[in-house]
Amino acid sequence: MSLLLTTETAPETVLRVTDLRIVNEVDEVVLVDGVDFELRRGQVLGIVGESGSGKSISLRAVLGLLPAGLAIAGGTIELFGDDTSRFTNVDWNHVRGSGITAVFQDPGSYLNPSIPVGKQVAEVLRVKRGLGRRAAKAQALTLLDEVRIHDPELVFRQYPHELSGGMLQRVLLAIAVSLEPRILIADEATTALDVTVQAEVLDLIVDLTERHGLSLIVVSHDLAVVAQVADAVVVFRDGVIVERGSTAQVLHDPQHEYTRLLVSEHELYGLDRFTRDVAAHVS
Amino acid sequence: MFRNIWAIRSGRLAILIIGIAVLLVALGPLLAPYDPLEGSELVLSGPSFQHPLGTDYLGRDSLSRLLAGAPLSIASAVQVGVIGLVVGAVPGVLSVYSGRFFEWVTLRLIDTLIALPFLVFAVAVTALLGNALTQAMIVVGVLTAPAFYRVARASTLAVANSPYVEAAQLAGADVSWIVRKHVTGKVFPPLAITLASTLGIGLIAVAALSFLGIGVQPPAPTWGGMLASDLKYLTFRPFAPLIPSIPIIVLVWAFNLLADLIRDVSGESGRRLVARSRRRRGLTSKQGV
Repeated sequence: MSLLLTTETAPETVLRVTDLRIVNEVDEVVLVDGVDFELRRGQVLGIVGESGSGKSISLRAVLGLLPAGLAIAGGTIELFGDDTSRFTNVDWNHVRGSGITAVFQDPGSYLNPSIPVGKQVAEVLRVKRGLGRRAAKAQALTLLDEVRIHDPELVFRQYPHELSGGMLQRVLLAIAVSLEPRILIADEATTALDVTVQAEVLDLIVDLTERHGLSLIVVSHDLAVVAQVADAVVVFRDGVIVERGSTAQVLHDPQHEYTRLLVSEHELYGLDRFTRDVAAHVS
Repeated sequence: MFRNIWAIRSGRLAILIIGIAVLLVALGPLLAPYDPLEGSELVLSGPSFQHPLGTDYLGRDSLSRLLAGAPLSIASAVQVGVIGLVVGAVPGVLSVYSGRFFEWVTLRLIDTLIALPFLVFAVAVTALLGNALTQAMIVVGVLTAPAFYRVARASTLAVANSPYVEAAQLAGADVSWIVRKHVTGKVFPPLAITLASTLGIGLIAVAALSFLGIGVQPPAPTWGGMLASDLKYLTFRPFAPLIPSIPIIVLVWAFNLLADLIRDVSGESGRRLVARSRRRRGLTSKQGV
């Protein structure tokens, strides 16, 4: 791949989705209809939309992990310039982990409950990097430290049920960045966490993105999350993109009725208002 | 797991009985006071000091035949279990990962095996392939495979759709990694339960087949064979069928008990059970769980 040779002036596109259509093969309902978006190197793309709007399904298609029964009915997905429709299982195993990876909501269920978390981090390094047992453990401890886990040695030996949601998401982020991928998808990764932890984890994701030079896709139904980190935003509704643009543009001058609704609701109930009120009280 | 079962009183009993059975397999023929094949003048005698369990219709010592018959009877039960495990569990796990065609074929094959009547089929096959123990055991083993197949497939399916397997795929895991890392751990406990109960079934099947004269040929001693020959002389020695029956019953019970306990100690309620019986014995619940 010639990606390393391109100049800094125009960051190349690492992911391009063109006219993607996803249907449920059983009842032939169209779930995603003609979605286009692209992600450049180093870019942070926010995807907003309510549940069932097709945002997660589209990203699963990008990861090659569509649930059984769903199929891509049209359009193309290009990862690092290669059309994924031609990928074999071996190609996918190669590109996932070291090219593109993801973290999701409910981190607890994404770890095997009967294996200590450290082993699960180390296992990835052993299989995909060919590291020895000891080297993998050392590397795993470094990674746990990098995701700001205070006592990596202790956490390494702990089982998922012994850790909080925020800690588990950190562990999953450690696994996600362990193979130095170039695209990270955070699909509602902070949704199930409480507000302070949410901020910490979001901070960590942004930090990791910058440090590893990742391209990031942040999916959320929470505008605040997206507003904090994204350069550009696309808004999904009912399987189509209803609005797109830079974050500032979408938040301050929403064109589509649905986006306007989202923004105004956010102004009514969102964090900004709350902090404003608190500030008013304090002063 | 072994330690957890040992912590429960009935678990110690089951392990003890199975331990004795293993010793019998190893040492049974050496412990026999008489040659199990050697007849004597003293036929169909009751218990005495020379013959604690009496003698059979050819004057052979029943205790010696019981001890000498242990290896064949128990070892073939194990053979049945192991054959069933291998023939059933491996395709059970693979059926989830090896494509629709393999899945469909194995499922139909297993359905067919379930439909076949156990003993009748074993009799038919030995009639076809020759009347020997190995053939009979392979047949019975294959016929127990559906249980292993179903159990292995069900637990594999449950794991295959779990988010943590998806997480492994996101890290670029191939099938062999997923099977090694995530599936084996989940499939093992239910398979151990199935194996333990199949050993009981195997023991009964071996006894039943040798009772019918299939598998081991007289005069070789087996528990089932003893049962068959003693039954004809019920009027002379009414207690005689109990001699091989009691070990069969006790051993089958021990295998089933072990199966139950493996199920109980793996899982959340099991941990509580173990902790409780540890407390009762004045041990802390922290050890070795």
